[in-house]
Amino acid sequence: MSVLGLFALILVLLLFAQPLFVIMGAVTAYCYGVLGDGQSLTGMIEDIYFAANKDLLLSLPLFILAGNLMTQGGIARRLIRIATSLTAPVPAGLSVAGVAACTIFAAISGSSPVTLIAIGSILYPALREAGYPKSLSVGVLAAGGTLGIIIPPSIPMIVFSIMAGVSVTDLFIAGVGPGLFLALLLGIYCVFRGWHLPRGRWSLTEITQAFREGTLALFMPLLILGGIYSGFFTATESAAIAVAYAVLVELLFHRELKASKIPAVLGETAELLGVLFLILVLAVSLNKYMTFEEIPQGLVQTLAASIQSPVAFLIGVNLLLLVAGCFMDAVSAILVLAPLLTPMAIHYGVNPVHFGILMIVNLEIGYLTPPVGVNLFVASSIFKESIGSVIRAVGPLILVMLAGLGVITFVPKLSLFLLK
Amino acid sequence: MSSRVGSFLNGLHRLEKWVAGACFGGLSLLVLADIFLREGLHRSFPFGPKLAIDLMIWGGFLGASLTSARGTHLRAEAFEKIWPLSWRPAVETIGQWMTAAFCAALGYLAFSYVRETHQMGEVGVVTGIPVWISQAMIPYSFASLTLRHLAYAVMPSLRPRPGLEDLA
Repeated sequence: MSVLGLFALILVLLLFAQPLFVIMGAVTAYCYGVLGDGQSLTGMIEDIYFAANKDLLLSLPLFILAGNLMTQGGIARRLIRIATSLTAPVPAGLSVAGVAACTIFAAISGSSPVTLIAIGSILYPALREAGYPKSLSVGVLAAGGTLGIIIPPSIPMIVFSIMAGVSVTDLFIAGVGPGLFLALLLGIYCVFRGWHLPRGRWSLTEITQAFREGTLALFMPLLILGGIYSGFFTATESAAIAVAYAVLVELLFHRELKASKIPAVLGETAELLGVLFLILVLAVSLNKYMTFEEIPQGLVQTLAASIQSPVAFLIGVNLLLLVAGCFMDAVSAILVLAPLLTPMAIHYGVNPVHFGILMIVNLEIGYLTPPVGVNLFVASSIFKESIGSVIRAVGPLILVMLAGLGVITFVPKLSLFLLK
Repeated sequence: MSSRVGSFLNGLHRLEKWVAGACFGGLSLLVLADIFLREGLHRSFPFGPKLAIDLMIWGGFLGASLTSARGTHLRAEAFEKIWPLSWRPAVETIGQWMTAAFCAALGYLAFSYVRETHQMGEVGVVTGIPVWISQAMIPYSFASLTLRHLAYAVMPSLRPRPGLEDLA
């Protein structure tokens, strides 16, 4: 009866379009107050405070701030110039450059829609002017934008790390292989689709100038990942270093950010973090309750009785996450599903870091699937195309990414080869 | 009336955004100072990261209030589409009342919790700062959220309508 009450509560809150933090908070309060073993509701607030009082959480505002600072100026233009200068002689070189620019930009911004807006708004007109088909241009930029959350630094990876208790450093390192692999698949798709399109030539002068203009931007991902991989910095420290580097580069070298603009950037960071912070601490509080009540362990036992094979588990979990990605954004899905699915994955012998990457790649595809694929709406708006034509354009690229997901699922080494 | 409340909420938004921005600026400097002192001068600075976490708690909870001001809280929008079009304004108003009620309840609980901490006189082990100061932003944030959603419930014209940039 009490559990039925919980489902009824969730349904009513969903019907009245309540924000996720209200749903998460109401569910947590219901668990503490009605289902719990006498734990008081004030105890829930105490858990919220302890959830917020975590070192790792510091990396969230710092990475968001570094990305905001770096994207204030013309960094996207600089990266596109490097990518186009290098891919000029490749068939469909300009679209391959789009994928490459998205890949590098993803290593700075950590957000898929931001990546799509920054690269897409510059490159889409250039692609159309160069005679690239509309479907290829829209599709490849929308899909390339999704790389934002799989290539580190990635906000969903930090959230997964908090919810599943997995090292964020390991997740960042493990995201590199699958991110580059997916970028490679998207690039190969562009080459095949645009084989007939006119090609350019390499120009040493253009390549030199492009690198001179964009080297400092290219160095940022190397600084973050190099610092983490070498063990010199923790994820939080590398985020702080990224902030300092972004301020120095944008103020002193690119000169595209004025010091007077920094307070506004800090305020925007607060607004972006606000989207995540409250639901994150409420979810951690709910997770603490579930762990105390041994709910994940109970689910593992129930599932283990009906599914014996790890392969069947992986296929089932991929399908579940793909469906979840159609209806939920990546962070919400991770907050709800990571604490429940990760113990099951461990039970079936799946490395939790590999499982985190799998989860993020699945939810990355969700950025392209209706009804709530964010990149579909962003692409429709910035390219001024109907949602229907964007959905048709990304269709083949979803298949390419599903093929990539299959490889990432069943070849764990692709994610884990860099881990020490 | 509506314009006065709107001006008040805008002023509150600017103030909260400024304080939250200052918190994030401060926490960035504290983490950097910790790295510089440890790696450059081989000195420990445990106070820095601990105070940075306190600033993050302030900035994070204020950020939740700022997010309501922009109307960009994550929500499952698919469900609200089941209502007939003519019902949706009323459903939205009821939704705003529900959000306000939830925030008020949590704000009350948070206030009780912070009052207990204050009465116990707990202080941070490393920083020596009373713990209730770090916690005080929790009830404030819920109070601010309550006020905002109450205003949105009573005055629909004040409700924010997020744009494309908010999707990012």
